[in-house]
Amino acid sequence: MSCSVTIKNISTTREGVRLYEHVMLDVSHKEKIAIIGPNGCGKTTLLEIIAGLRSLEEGTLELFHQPMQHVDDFKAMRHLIGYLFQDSDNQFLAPIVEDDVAFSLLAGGTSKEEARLKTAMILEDLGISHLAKKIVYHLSGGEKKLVALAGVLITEPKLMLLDEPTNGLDVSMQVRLVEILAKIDKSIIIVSHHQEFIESVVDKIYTLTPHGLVCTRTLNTHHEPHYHTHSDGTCHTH
Amino acid sequence: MDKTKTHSPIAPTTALVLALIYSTVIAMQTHLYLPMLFPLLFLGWLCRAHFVLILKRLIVLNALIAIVTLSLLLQKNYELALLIGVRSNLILLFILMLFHDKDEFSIAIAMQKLHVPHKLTSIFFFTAKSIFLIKREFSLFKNTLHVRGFSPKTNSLTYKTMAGFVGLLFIKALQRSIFLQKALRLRRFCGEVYTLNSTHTVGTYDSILYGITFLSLLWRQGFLL
Repeated sequence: MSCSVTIKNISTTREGVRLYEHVMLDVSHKEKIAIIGPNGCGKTTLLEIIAGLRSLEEGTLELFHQPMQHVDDFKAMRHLIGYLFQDSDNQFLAPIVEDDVAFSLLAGGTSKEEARLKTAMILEDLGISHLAKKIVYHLSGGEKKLVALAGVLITEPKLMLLDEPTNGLDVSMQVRLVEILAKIDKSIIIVSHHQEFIESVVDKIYTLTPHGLVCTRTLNTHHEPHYHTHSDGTCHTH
Repeated sequence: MDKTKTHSPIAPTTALVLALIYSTVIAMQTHLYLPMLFPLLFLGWLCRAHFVLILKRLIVLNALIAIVTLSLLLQKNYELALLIGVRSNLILLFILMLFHDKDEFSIAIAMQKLHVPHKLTSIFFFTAKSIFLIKREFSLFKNTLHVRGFSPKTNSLTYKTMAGFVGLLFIKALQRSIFLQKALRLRRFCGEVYTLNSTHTVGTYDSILYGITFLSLLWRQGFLL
């Protein structure tokens, strides 16, 4: 099986306390999984380890069959990993929406013309073209999340790590996010507490326990909708 | 730096160059002349809509200048105290009027255009961004205190709350800077900032300001101080 992420026996401590140990995980290409667990169990920490934002204490991590031991190993892989922060404000580096969305592309050496074209396309795809010239700090929570997502998607990463993507989103915005993620044909790891949302998006749900990751549910790849849109445009969940 | 405005009649490159020249020359003067006010008058006219805000900021900054001038006044060095006070205010007002509508992003791009070393640009960008985030945390904390019914008095609760407030601000600032560092790494920041727009071209107002500033610094007429 071809894997995007392979984790073997990862253990992590925080302030001297062991958060979890013997974490094993394989995420296949284009597989979408969710990691759930109680507050403070180390879900975000695990996501940060996969993204190369934290050093490995124990165990091994492979991304696209390349062993990742040190933070420096991630430099060559950076363009393949997209990370959506829990708080979108932490993600913004430029004040104008289109500049921020294009940032990673331009930093990777893409020409301005190509970056402008791709930015326009991604904003169009996400239905936020009208925000292109707006100042990121003046947007609503949902709009900020979509702009942050555009900044992640524009580099066409092969692996997307989403930390609480529904935080602060209303139901209609959650529906939109589900639709967007359903169209994405990439490996996705979601950390979330939002049951309906993850059931609408992922193939497998893992629970993070102090003794490792346990696959608690395998869902049909053809997801049943957990959100319903009324004819008047309003939404509800069940 | 006000986040609501990103376009200004004065290009950030012009602002950086002229701020450096004007402040260096004025800081070294032992005598001040009337023409040295001309660039301030022109800038004052350009940013007349925000002049009250700029003056408020200048008054706040004068609290720091007051410490220096007061120490000189206590030594009965009145002339030097006055010279330092006026010089500092000229420089501060010039810089405030130049940069009041520019964000850290446009200034960092201007620094790159002026071929300032990448490391210096990165340090500036990281620092300015952190200050902006800390400022936001400060406003959030202030709102929290108001919402939770805190009103400052001269009692131990107030002192404890304020001490906690400062401590939490430090912790939040540290957290924010860690997140910022993570975002910079994830988004492949390598010492440069980028923009899709070329809004920083030098225009007519820039040329006029260059002319007035150079003329004002060379024209030694109308003794002011």
